[in-house]
Amino acid sequence: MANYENILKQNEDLNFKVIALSIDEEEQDWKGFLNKKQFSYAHYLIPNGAKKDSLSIDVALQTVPRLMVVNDKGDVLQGRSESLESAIAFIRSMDKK
Amino acid sequence: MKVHLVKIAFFALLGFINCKEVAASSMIEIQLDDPTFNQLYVFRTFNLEECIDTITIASDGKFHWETQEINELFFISDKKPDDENRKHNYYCSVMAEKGPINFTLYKGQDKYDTNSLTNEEIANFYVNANQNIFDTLAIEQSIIKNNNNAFGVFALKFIGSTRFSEQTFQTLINTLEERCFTQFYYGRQMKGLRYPIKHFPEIVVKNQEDQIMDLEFTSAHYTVIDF
Repeated sequence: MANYENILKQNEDLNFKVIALSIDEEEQDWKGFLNKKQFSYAHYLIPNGAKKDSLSIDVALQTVPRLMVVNDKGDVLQGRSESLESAIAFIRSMDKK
Repeated sequence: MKVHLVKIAFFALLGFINCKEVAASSMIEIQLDDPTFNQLYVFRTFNLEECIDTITIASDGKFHWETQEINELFFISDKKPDDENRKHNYYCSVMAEKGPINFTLYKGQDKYDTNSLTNEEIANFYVNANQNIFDTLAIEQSIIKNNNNAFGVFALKFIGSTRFSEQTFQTLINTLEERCFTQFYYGRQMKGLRYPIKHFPEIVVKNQEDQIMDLEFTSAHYTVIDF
């Protein structure tokens, strides 16, 4: 999982947040990874059996890493961002409208 | 219903096949027959709903766009993403092939010239489909003929999302070699054959402290979700 701290710091003026969603099968691996580093953004695990199949189909989530942009209502504004930088550029372009 | 479930299971299986993207670029050059147009937009979807980029005309009078998503399909038009009413003047589907490919677009006509054989095939397919020349046998033969390149995947995606019956759809799937689905990026995206979601599904998540909660996006105007 990428470390976005510098990019986030450079874009503090923007009203957005990053959340990392893990689909790891092994919860301990996920926790172990998070314990090694400090992150300024939230990390969540999608528990086993909790709609992972639905996510795979609805979000067409075949490959990770995968970034997407949603608004505060959960509407998907950009289904597949190439990088955090491009997601931020997209958000800035939305903000100008 | 049973066929539908088989279809979902089939694509779900394909979704788990993990292939690495080739680290190469597709350099796309576009020329318009009307030089007064100075901006084009890149969309993920054929009905121009998910805009991912804006291309501004360069000093050479052409539009240049580069992507590393080889074999992904993009749709390029002058229609502004937030303009629901204005009809587009230019429309072009682009399969991002490795290396430089160029297109010449003609105003008011959904057709284009290209130096890319795959994209030329797609152009013919699109023009025919747009004129309601929808000969399923011809399409099937075209898919079989082009089975070794990404065109089959494009065609299947396009027709899978529009007009073929379940039975014809299954027939077409059976004509394609599995490599069409697994070796091409766009094929792997076909898993659900669904239109890209407009709303993120409601899911529960667990935080580091083992608390279970609904995923919410209300604490900021925008959220970038990183899987």
